[in-house]
Amino acid sequence: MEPQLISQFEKIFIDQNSAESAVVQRIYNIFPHNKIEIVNEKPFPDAFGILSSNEFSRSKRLLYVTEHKGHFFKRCPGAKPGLACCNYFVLNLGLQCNMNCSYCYLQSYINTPLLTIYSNIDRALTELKEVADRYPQHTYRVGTGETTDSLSLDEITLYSRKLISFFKKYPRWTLELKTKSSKVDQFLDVEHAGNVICGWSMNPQNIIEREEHLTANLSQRLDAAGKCLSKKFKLSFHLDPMIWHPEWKESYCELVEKISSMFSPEDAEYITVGALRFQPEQRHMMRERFGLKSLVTQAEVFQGKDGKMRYDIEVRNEMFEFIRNQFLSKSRAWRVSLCMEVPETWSMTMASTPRQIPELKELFAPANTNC
Amino acid sequence: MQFIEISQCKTINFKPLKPWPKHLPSISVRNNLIAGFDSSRTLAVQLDIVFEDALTDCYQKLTLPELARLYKIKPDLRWDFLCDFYHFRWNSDLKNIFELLTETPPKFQNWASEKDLGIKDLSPLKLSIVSPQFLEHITRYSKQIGCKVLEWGIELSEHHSSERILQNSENTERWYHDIFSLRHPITASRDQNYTNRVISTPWPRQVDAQWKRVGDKAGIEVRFISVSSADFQKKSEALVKLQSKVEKIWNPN
Ligand code: SF4
Repeated sequence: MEPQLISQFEKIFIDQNSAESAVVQRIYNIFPHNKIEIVNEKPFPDAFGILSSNEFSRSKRLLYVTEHKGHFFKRCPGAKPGLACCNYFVLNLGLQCNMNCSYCYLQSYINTPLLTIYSNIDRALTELKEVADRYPQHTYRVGTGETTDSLSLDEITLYSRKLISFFKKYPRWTLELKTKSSKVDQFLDVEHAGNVICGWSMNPQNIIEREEHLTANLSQRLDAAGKCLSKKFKLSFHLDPMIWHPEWKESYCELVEKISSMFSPEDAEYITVGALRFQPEQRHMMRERFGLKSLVTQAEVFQGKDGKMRYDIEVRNEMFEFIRNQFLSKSRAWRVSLCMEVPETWSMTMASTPRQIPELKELFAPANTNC
Repeated sequence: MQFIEISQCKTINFKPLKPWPKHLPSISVRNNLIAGFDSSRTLAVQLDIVFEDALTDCYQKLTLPELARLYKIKPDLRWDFLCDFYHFRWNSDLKNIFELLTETPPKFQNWASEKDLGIKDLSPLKLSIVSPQFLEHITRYSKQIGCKVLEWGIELSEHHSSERILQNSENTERWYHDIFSLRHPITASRDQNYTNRVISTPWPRQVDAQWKRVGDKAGIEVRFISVSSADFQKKSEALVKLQSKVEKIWNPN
């Protein structure tokens, strides 16, 4: 375990109800005991509603382990009217992230001053099992990276191991772990059914340094993907969010070069591309937390139909087309798609919407949940 | 009811925006005058209750600049209670905004009160010190536009001098466009190129066309009024004939 991960947390609060859980036992083994406090109720009860920038930054250093009370299993936020998105389900295993990207959408979302890890993953698996038993013939794609990074704290929780083993019993399902970390060693030995996709958000190294603080650097991400591939895990790469800067073409060209020189189209289930977007209300926090020199706070963005701030549609199309052409110039077999984009952009860049592209049809097939 | 001479009170005049109703007496709480500050009055009703209770009884609503001025005079009040009452959250952020607000020109403070600006609207003030003239110029705008100009101006202060930012500020409309273009130089220059091409396209008579930006998209807006179906056909056909020239707006080469 990296010492940085241990020192990153100032304090660890453990809800009494979670004290016997496996994750708490591991926390006792990993962290100095003077940082750990058992609590009967959620700390900072007065800090409700929208967090200030300082409170948000501090929340990344205060770990809270508790049981999740609501449903674990949720539909992807992209599945909204007006947005073309993959049929995808999310399993929330925690809330908040220990890394610090300037554009992170959690800045518009988090209203609790703590980084929360849910201790009752077994109930999440029971929920999944109920759905699986009810609809055995259906295929599902399940991701864990909506409200936290899938793997950055996985050395502490080891949840990936449980999930991978669980999904082994449901080979028609796909588990997608999406990360900007390089933490994979803890699950490489787990047997799987070939239905686990390890996905990396990718950006050129200059963007990682400027905007994706505390994340793994590009070569660490690529190496981690290589390790997963060697254990026959499937891969996906997400060039998302692409960030415009004067040398963006050179930077992204180099990134495509690096990915395509290390991996073949068969290694990657798919590549998704998306451009910078964020909720308008988070711009204040981004400015305060990352200053006015960030490429994100400086970006020329405008409110789109869905309310999010985005680059002008022409700029987005140019960026998407550029990436797509870069990959296709390496091999026609690369599968490149857009995520969280308005259908107009799909049709301008790719001449068809997701379900009309044969190689992506399966990926974007409607999930048959009926539940 | 007890009265006290105003001259014996400490005046907590935080300059509330709404004038205290003439028919109501001035109010003092434990020798602190909190309402009815105008000089024509000599006596005040003296209350012997908690300061915060008296204040919230007198003022059902206070805006951020009013609270900021009160904070400057009386930082030792129960601010968590007061903020709760006025629907704000008491934390270091709000304290910071209070301190910054009281440094802004009174004209800006009054505008912020009238437009009922919130914490987020004012949060750009935390990032950079802007000139008082800049803040005063903003008061000519509506809340929506003024808040945008405030944000853009403060974002621009990273790379531009305050003289540059204030250029053209005498003309309200021109200044707004100028600040927009400075803050979005690539988009503004692209939109300008399109505008020029749209202007130089020979549109049919009685057809108006302009390059228009709507959020993250921009395009040609074509408008005409048809007085009959024959007129509609005539104008539509004239527009169709223009296709190759319209094509050139997007692909000039
Ligand atoms: S890794 Fe993801 S969740 Fe974490 S800070 Fe970055 S964008 Fe947010």
